[in-house]
Amino acid sequence: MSLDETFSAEHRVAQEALPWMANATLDTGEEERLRAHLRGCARCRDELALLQAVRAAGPGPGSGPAPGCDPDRAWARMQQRLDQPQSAPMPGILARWRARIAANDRSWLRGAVALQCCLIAVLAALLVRPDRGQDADMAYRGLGASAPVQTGIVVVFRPDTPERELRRIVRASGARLAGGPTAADAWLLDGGDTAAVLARLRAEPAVELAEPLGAGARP
Amino acid sequence: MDQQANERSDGEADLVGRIAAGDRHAFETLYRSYFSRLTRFLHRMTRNAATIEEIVDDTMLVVWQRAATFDGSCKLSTWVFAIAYRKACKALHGLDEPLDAFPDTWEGAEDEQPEWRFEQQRLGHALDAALAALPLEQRAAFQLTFYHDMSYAEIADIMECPVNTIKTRLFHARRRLALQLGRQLEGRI
Repeated sequence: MSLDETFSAEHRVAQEALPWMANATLDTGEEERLRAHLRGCARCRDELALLQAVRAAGPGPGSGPAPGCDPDRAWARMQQRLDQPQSAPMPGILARWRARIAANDRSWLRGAVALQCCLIAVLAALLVRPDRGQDADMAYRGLGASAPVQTGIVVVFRPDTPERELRRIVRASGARLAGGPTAADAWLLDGGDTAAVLARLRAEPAVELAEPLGAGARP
Repeated sequence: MDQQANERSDGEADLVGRIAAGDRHAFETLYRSYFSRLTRFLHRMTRNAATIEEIVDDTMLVVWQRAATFDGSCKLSTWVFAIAYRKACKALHGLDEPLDAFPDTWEGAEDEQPEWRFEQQRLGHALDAALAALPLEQRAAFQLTFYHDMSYAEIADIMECPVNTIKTRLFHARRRLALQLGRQLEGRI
């Protein structure tokens, strides 16, 4: 920091402190620093002289009351206020609520009843609301009940059916191969419209057996 | 000066203690000792004497009711003026009273030269008019400094703001007053 900058910072601090130099309320350290600055700064000395003149031109701390104000009249009025019964101090928020609840305050009861009505309405709406979008898997099931059997079709082809023909028949049926062959050389198909798939499969000479599986199956 | 201030402070602390105990005579003593200072302070905010007295009464009623809560962490004057300032801001909020001419209240020292007294009187009148044009916060900071001899720390407590804000307010107030007073200040420095 250059000397100019140091002086400038000092000058700004001094300028801000001058009013309290004029009313003599600076502490000893501040006053000494300011006096040191004043010795070398004519501008601050002029400003201080001006502030002292301004201070002297106003009513000092020992002056009387403001024009039109009378302490006797005001005190007489004050005494009347002191004689009036003082209103009880405002209780805290918890105390106020406790008092309201204990007193069965009407506005509080009205609020509570309204809240209850709203709650009942919401519960009723939930009861009549259809299970839209609810997954079938989420439907109620007894603890002893097993998981629902997946619908499908069991197919048994003639033993001499070539693999290529087998693939054609499955593709043409509209279903897809889901499992097999089992120990009885049966294949499991799923997908597509069960009835239509069954009809197509049964129409194939290479199909010995085609039967639906699952809960909804009807032979 | 420090000793005088300490004695005054002890005396005031004793008064507050008695007021807290419900001593109405002690309260009257405090009321009367603050009446002049408070009315002069409030006079810069409103020229209506009835309003000023009402604000003083509101302020001192708080002192009466809450004397027991004064813990001596600041000067009593700081506490009382802080209450008065808040009451005044609340009472005068939105009130824009015109500046009326008011009688000369300045009383200079008897032994001063007549010319000097006349000049001071003239400057006092000009200052009153110029002060009235300042924003309320700048005006309050100015008069607490120059006419109530309070330190910047006390004023910051009263106005509930940082010390630097007080310094800035006063700095701006001085600049504006210097601009407005202009010629009245010539020849004084």
